[in-house]
Amino acid sequence: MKAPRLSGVSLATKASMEETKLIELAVDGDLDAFNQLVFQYQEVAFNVAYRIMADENAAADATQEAVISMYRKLDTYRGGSFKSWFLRIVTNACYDELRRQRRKPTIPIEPETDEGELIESPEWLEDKSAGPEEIFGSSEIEKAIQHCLSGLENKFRVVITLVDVSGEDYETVARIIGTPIGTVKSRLARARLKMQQCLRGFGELLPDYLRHSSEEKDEKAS
Amino acid sequence: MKRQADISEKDTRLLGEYLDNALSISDRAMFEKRLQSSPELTQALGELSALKKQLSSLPRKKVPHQFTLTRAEAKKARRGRFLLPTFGWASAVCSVLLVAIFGSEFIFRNFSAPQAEPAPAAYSLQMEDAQVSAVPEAKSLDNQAVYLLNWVEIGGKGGAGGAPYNNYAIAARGELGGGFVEPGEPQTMSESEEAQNVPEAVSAASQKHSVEPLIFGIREGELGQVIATQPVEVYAVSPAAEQPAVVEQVRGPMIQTNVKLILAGLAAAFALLWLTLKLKR
Repeated sequence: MKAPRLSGVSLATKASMEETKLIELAVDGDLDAFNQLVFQYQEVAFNVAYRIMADENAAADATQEAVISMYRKLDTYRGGSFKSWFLRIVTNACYDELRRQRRKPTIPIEPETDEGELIESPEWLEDKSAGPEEIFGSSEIEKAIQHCLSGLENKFRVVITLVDVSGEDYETVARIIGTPIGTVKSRLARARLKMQQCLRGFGELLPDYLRHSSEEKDEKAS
Repeated sequence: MKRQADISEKDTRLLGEYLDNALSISDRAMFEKRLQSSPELTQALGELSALKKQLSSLPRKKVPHQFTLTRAEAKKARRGRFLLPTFGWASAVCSVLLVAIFGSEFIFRNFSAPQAEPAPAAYSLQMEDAQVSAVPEAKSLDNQAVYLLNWVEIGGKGGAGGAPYNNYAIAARGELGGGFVEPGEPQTMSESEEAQNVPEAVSAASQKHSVEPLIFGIREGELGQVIATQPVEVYAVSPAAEQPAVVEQVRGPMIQTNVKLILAGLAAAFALLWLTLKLKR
């Protein structure tokens, strides 16, 4: 006998029920259930962390910290969207990591010549393996976007990442960052404006719509 | 043409909400009308839409490794779960206790009224002795006329009700606490009367150990009599004996210094542990 086909809504409901069950089990100390939840959301979490941190290693550290922190805090979970809760912990871990980085700025390990001048890109520091850009096939425009994202203040970067990159709605973002929806809207508007202004500086890399505006700007200036 | 940067922040926000389907139906309808009539807004919407598309189409990074926890990691995470809050709370509790101790000591030292030493049981008896012995002395010192004072209104009934025999107060004849004495005309008592009354007072004082019922502070048998009429107690009783000494008690610390030191040490140690754990994480 053929199994009845489940509609999209039914699948979502089933998934939600499964998630609820998994959460219950995880709260009761079932590590496998917890790991299933982590497995389900780790990619979203890592990508949010990556866009906020702009560094893969730092993003991985922040995500791992978030997972450990989430495991410790499982008994404080009070229902609602598990994904939002997880992303909230991830963004907090990112903030902590960014604060730590600010406290302990990394010192480049570039060697000096006998005269005390820095040797830029010494041969022994060259990474012969493929870089992350090559691995993930990132385009120039992606670099430009990431550059502009990194230039934003943390609060703007988090909001635009969650809404535009991760695709969360305003309410979810408000829950994640713990602010009213109005604040999310205004931060998002400002973040988008700043992103547009920043991207205009990349000229040729930009798609037509931005290049057109940049040219207009140049014409006005001349 | 107006560029998006020239569009107000409010419009940018509205454009964003329109793009994200966050406007209500009525607001959306109104904004669409505005969009139709404003090419600047339309262009800005196009730019914003393109940016959103670019951002949302950023490639998804694959996770560098699984973030799931092993049994050992989970055990470690759970083990340290209570340490941080425990040390934090312990430090806070110790600090609060210290503050409470110092605070209460400060308040007791500076704001509590100085307490009189509790009158010893034999205090009244001593007073009696002092007064009795002081009477002849007072007589020798004071040759002035002794006034019989009436502290009450004419015809009044209040007055010397509370005066016990040993205070040499007036118990007016006929009525308790009141005598028909002309106000402003203090009656004097002759030396003989005085001499008569003094032994009476002395004899009254000699009965100090007997417990007899008092009526309005006066013995039953002495009602209606003038027991004594001299305001000599001013001289008779030395100020030291007259009132219980107000003792500015030199109070020691309520809690021993050792305890305070231990509490302070614990607070510091817990805080240090908490900080170490916090920084480690």
